[in-house]
Amino acid sequence: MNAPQIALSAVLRWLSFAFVLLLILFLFIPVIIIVILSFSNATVLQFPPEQFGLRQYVAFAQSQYWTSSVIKSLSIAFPTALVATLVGMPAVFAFNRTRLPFREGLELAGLTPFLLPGVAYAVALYAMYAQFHIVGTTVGLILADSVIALPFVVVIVGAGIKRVPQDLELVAMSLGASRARALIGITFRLTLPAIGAAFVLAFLAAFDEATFVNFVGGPDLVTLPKAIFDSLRLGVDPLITGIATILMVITGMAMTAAVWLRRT
Amino acid sequence: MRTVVGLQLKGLAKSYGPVEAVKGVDLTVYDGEFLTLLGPSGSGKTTILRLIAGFTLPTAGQILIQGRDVSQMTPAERGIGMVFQHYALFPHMTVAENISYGLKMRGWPAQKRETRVREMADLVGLHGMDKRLPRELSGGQQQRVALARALAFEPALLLMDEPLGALDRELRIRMAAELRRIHRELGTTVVYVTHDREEAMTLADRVAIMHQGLIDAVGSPHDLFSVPPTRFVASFFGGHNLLPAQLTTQSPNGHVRVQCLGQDVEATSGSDLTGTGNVWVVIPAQAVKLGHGSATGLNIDATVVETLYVGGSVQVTCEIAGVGRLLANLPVEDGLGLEVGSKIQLLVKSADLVAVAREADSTAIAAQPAASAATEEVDDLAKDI
Repeated sequence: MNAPQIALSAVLRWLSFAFVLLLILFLFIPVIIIVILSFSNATVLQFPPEQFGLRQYVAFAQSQYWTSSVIKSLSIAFPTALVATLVGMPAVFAFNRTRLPFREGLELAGLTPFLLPGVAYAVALYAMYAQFHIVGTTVGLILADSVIALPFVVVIVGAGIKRVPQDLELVAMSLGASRARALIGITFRLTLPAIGAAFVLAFLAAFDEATFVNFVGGPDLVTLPKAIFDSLRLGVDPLITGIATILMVITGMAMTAAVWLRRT
Repeated sequence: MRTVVGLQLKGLAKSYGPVEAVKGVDLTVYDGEFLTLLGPSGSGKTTILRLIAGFTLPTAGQILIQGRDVSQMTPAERGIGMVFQHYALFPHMTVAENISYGLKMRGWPAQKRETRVREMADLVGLHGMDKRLPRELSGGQQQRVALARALAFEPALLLMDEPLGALDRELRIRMAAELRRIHRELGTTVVYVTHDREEAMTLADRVAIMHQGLIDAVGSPHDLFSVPPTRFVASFFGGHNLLPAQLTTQSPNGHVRVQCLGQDVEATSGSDLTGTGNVWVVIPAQAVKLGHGSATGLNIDATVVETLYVGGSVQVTCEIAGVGRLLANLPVEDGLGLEVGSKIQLLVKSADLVAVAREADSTAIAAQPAASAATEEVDDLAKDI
């Protein structure tokens, strides 16, 4: 390479670096502002904050409205993750370790919730739930959220089991293990990290879910996303910045856990 | 001479839908014998291995291990050790845990297991590595662990599926020597699947050559190489040249006379050629010499197409006008000076000529150097299913 080419490639390198930096700033500046705002003591949203303190967090903890919505969200998200994992995991094993007919089609069917327009699906669900009188029930919402969470399990556990060579099961059987013991002791054991990661992501999907709850949740089922929507209708309470910060920290930790689980 | 039967296959067949992967195979492996199942991809050798191991059940036929019919048993009940090409070590278990897995499954007490693991680790040369995880080991070390694991519970039979295929050439040669030593020490019956004829030749007591779902021939490497009974054995296992010829007379002592390149020459025959008019004359590349005029051999006039110095000898590719190509492995002093395009006279002694049955076609097939043989075949049928 001659001198002008080297200069050009250096310029291009700096340009691409600057572009990526701008993109990151664009994405993160709102996040950073929210975090800063959450440590302001003001009762209205203003930037920059005049006085720093823990007012938003204290107000959040003291509010019956907010704490009960968090508890509601948790009591929806945990069972949802459990249902999605318990349904999705055996399905993935069947897709990958049996001669089930139409495996590929069924696997694709497990992914359709990713493709369906959420609102249209929620309207249809509402009509069906109304017939069975389960609008506004916790069980109804858990079932609806499980559909959304299922593809995470199908994709992540599916990727996990595909990394376990089938030869391992065969060798275990040749060494004296029964088929069930080989499947559980070797394949299931080696898929566990992926199952853990899938559980975390299914949990987050359900915790974050804001569409279904508005349709099939009825007036009384107030999860955290629903509570945030409702409060925005009355005007912005800055304690939302505190909630947002807490959510981001929890999500970040859960995602880190999921990534770490998949690596081991 | 071995007489006790270790493994016997009787009319073993396996179909996958309309595809016949194995078409009725009979084979006897003697106790303590090292038998190599050699064949190109898709010849059914891996299917046979999976049938013996019990990973798939036969459509017809029987599998007997030391006289016991295991055809319908689960893999666990058969008591067979198995080594896979890609090692198939349990990645979450240490070396020691991998080796003792089979012992645990068979209910050995902890103390006995520990002693055995140490013995096996020493046998395969992995002393002091028992706490390591498979990913911390090299490919050769991983294959040693797989071998120790398969042999730990003293199986009556050890199956190996191209166990050296994933290693580089130098390591493959070292591991092959190691395998021979371990086989000598333990005396386990071994069935070893490979598509590499050099590996089959150096490792095995006997080689069974598979072709299109059937066993083409079984014999010692030397017998199969020097007197191949079929065209397939001559080209796939021997890598020999084949020239079309006509059978003129067959005498009962295995000697025949054939008409080849317009000459009437004597040749050996490894199979019964009664009723066959068309034959191939098998010519090993290293049996071809420079020279002319012998009454008891085959004289060949040819044109040099290419010469390749391979260290120790020169591989000369020649064209026989109107017949086809021929590969000659000449001594350096004869081959090095040959000009491409020059006419040469070659001679093969009668003792080196073998006749095998031939189908209707008649082009000559040049010998193949071992490294390039049979590597471009279709994927093994059984592995897809």
